[in-house]
Amino acid sequence: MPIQDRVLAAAVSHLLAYRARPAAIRRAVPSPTPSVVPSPSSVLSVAAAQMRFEFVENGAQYAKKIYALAAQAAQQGAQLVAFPEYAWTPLIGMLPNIRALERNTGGGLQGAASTGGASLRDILLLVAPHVERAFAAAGSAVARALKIYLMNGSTVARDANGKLFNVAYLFAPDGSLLGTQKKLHPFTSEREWLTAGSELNVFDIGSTRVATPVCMDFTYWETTRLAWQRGAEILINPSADDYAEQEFLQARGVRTRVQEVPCYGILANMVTDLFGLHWRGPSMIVQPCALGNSIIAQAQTTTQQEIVVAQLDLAKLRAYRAQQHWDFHRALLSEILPRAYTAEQK
Amino acid sequence: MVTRVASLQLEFQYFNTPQEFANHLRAAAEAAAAAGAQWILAPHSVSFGLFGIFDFDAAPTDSLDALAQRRNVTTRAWLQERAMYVYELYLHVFQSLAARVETWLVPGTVLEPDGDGFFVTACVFNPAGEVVGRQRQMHRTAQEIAWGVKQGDALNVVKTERGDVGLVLGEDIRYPETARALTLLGAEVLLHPAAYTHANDEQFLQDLWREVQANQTFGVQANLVGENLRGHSAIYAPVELTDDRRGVLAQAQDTTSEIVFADLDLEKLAAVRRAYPILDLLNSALNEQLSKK
Repeated sequence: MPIQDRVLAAAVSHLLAYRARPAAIRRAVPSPTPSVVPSPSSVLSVAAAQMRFEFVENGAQYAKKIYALAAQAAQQGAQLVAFPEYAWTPLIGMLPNIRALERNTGGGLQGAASTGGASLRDILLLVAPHVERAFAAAGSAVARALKIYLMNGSTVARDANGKLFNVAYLFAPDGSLLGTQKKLHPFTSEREWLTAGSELNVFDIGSTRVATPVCMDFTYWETTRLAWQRGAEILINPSADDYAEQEFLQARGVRTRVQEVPCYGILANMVTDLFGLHWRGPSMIVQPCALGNSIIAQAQTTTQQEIVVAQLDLAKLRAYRAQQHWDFHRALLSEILPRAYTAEQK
Repeated sequence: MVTRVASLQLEFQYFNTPQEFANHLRAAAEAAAAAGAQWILAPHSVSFGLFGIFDFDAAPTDSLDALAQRRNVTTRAWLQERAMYVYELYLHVFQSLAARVETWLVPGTVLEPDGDGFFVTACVFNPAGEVVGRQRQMHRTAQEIAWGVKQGDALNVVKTERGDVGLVLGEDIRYPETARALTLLGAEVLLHPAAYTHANDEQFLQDLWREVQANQTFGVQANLVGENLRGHSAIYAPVELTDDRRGVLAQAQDTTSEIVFADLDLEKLAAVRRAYPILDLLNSALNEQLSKK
């Protein structure tokens, strides 16, 4: 890299570090509210935050945006609130000149990057540490302020080896990090920059267990089968999908997966038209058809910020699970299927 | 290459003679062939109608369990005395029928005797009337286990000049590993003989439509219908291949006997797979963990 580019990158990095500083983020979020009366343990109130990708200037502004949405959900009683995949993208507004680039380039984020002689991967490597820090600080502060379990969507993250991941975060009501989930199946457009995770995690949130695979992961029954086997009762699906307003395209995700594994599902969509994207809702909360209509609640719009809230009756789900008969085929799972996967790889 | 397929949605009934059964199926298969079908699929358990030759008073709503109870024996014992005859008749009738209509034929499932138990099996007949493929159901309902049905031991893809076909039989549809393995083994078309005792407006989420989308195949479902049986037979495709983006090429209008047709363009299917290569994006490290359970 020429010396002037290195100087510029270092300057931008310092600017991003300043704009993403956690102390400012913590100050931007109100102090914790008084404790609420806990609801019966077998019913959990959950919310999907349909969030609009709009630029913010800094981490503090981002935290206010997250807080405003999560607070709407909490005011309606939500104890668990889920945000979308790519919930970090407003933070790209911390980059100098990004708005002009967005307006002047028709080729999406990749086009914007190449205007400056960089690749999308270059841009993401530059912003990832700062974005992730601001994203995590905002998530922690908002969860603590509202005393909710908060899956604040997914962020781009860079590891020590320079690999980039798409990572979902889950915070406890005291603001502590319960865990993270790396996206396991990059979408076709992510393959050039994103490294896939290899572990599927399940998290205990008191009255139940949740898993939060990311978007494309819900195209694969393998993901949700593992989550179910590991005790998940709620599958959180942070998503950012082009044309998700097309019902049957969208139905290929969590809405069908919860028919295969008896779980509730929370789909939280990112929406935007920035960078030529066509991310749409509706976000929704879904269940196995045996418990009623598969869609318990859904957003009224496909393009606006919204909160979708539903009560999940865990006792009802558990009763349904108890009456199900399963006849898993050991050889199919341990021999036939692995051979078939191997054949596909070849 | 475009292949015309036909799904025979048939009302269940018992027949007092093999000839009555053959005539009933022949009428439907000939109608399908006359309309240009090159593959014909019949429903799950349609061969159970042949058990009527052992009980002239059997009503369509009588289950096999009910027929056995009339003789004061367990269903398993009742089947052990009769299933071999039904299985032989199934082979005989459909060898003749496939050759007669000169069409690829999967005439639903039959109980295949094996030792003191059974497999739920579907055979693939070529247009010459030869059995060129066979699939045993891999997963069983609680009722099938009580009858002595065993799990199948292999998944097979039948490669033909009219497309490579995998069979997802009855209960196998609940287990997505079945369709996944068949697709990875080369299936372009999944055939699902079905018989549902209940169905709802969102049935597509729970059966073959789901597998067609997850694996990017075509799917042909033939439902057994009747007083206690539900479902609308359908022919599915990835949503990208349907104008209204619903993924349904054709569907039965009602829950009575009906033939559903569609033309499957395998080249268009290949194009969808190239544009959105779902199976290239499988996570092998993750999937290895499935086999450890």
